Amino acid sequence: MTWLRDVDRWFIDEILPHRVAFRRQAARLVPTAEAEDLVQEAYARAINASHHREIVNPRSFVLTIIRNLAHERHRRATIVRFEHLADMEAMEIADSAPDQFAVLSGNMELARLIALMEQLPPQARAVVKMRRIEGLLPGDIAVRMGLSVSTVEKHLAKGLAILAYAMQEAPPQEERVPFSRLWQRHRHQRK
Amino acid sequence: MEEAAGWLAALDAGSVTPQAFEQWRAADPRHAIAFAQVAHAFEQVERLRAVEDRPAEPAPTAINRRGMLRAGVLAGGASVAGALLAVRATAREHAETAIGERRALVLDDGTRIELNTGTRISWRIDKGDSRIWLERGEIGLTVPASLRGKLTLEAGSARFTLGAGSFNARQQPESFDFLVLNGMADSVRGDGLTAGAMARVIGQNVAIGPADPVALDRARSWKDGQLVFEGESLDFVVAEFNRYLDPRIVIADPALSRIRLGGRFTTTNPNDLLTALHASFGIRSQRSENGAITLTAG
Repeated sequence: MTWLRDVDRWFIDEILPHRVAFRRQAARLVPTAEAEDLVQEAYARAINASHHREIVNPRSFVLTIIRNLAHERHRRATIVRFEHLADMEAMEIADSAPDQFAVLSGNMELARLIALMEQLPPQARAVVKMRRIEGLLPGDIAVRMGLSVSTVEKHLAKGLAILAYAMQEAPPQEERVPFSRLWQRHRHQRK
Repeated sequence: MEEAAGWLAALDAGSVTPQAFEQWRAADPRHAIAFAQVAHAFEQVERLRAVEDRPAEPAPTAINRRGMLRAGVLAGGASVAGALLAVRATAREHAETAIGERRALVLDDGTRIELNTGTRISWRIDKGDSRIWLERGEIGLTVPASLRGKLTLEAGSARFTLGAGSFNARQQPESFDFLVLNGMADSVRGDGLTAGAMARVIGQNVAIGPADPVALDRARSWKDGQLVFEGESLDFVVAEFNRYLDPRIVIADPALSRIRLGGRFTTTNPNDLLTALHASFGIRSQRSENGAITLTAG
C-alpha cells in the first residue's frame, strides 16, 4: 500500500502482533479503565520513534515504554491502591515467552477474522468481501451493487472500522471457537 | 477509528488527495496509530482468499496461561495461621511474640487473646476476676458472654473494664489506643464505650470518640495478616510494615515519602511490597551492611 510510510509498516509488522502482551502488561500496572489509554500512549511514542529500524526488540521496546509511563502515572497519582500495584512475578513470566504469545495470536487472527466478517452489517460485509477477497475496484462494486461510489466508500469504511476495532480487542478465553468449526460455518454460509 | 477508516476508503476510491491525507495523519500520533490499525485490518482481510479453499486445520491448543498465573499468585500469598494455645493460669502469667510473629491463647476464664507482632502481655486470674496488662505491642481480645467475674485491661496509666465483646488494644509510640469492635466497655472514669468507639490515652488524658472506619478495619484485618491503608504516605506504610520486620525498611530518598498508598495488602511479607514498589514506581531496594533494606528512587 503506497500510503503506508516505513514507520507504519514497521508498526503493523513489529508492534501490533504483540498487542495482547501490551494489554496484559498495562492491565497489571494500572486500573483496567486506564489500561487501553496507557497502551495508546505507548503506541504514540512508538510510531513517532525516528530510529525505529534500529530497535532490536520492538516488543520489549514498547513493554518498557508502558512500564515507564505507568511509573510516571503512579508518581503523579494522589493515592495508588494496592490492588493495582503490579505483580512482578506474573510480569516476568509474560515477558519471558514472547514467541508463544505471538504464535498464539497469529493463529487466532485468521479464525477471528472469519468470525468478525460474519458479524459485519450485510452491505459492509459484501463491500469488504468484493474489494479485498474478490479484488474488485470500488467503481466496479458500485456498478454491481447499484450504489454510488461514495456509498461504497462509506460501507467499506464502516466495515474496516468495525474489523480494526475488534482486532485490537484481546479475544476472551471462553469465546475461543475451534478453527475447524469456524471454517465449516464459513463454508456452509457460502453455499 | 471511524475517521481513519474513512480516510483509507477515500484513498482507496481516489476521492481525496494524498496531501490532504498526509496533513491529517501528521496532525496527531493517534491518527497515525488508528490508520495503521485500519490498514492492518484492510490487509488481513485479503488473507481470507487463501482460506477459501483450504482444508480444515486442527484447532490450536491454547494454554490457559491466565489460570496458571493466578494459581501461582495465590500460592505466594498464603498467610501464616496463628497457633492456638490453651494456657493454665495460676499467679501472674506472661506471653509474648517476637517481631513478625503472631499467636493466640485462651485464658482460663474463656477470654481469647491474639497477640500481634512484638507484643508482651501478662495476666492474673483471682477468684473469678481477671486482670490483663498490655506491656507492649498490640492485642485483640474476645470476651465470652459467659464471663462471670470482672475483666480489666491495663496499659500504663490506662485502665478499662470489659464486658462481653471484641476489642483491640495497641501501644503506639505516643499513646495507647483502645477500640471497641463489638460489645461494651467502661473507662476507669466511668465513661461507657459502645461498638465503634475508640479511646486514646495519653498520660492521664483520655479522649473518647467514634473510631475511624479504617482504624476498625485495621483492627479486624491484622489477625489475618492483612494491612489496610487509606491514602497514607509511604512513610506510614513502611512504618506499619516495619513493625513486622527485623531488619527494617529505610526510605533513603525523602521524595518517595510523597507517594500515597491505599487499599489492602494481604501479606506482611516485605518482598511482596518491594517487588510491587519496584514494578509500579521503579523504586529500588538494596540491603545495606547492617541488614536494613534501603529504598531509593529508580
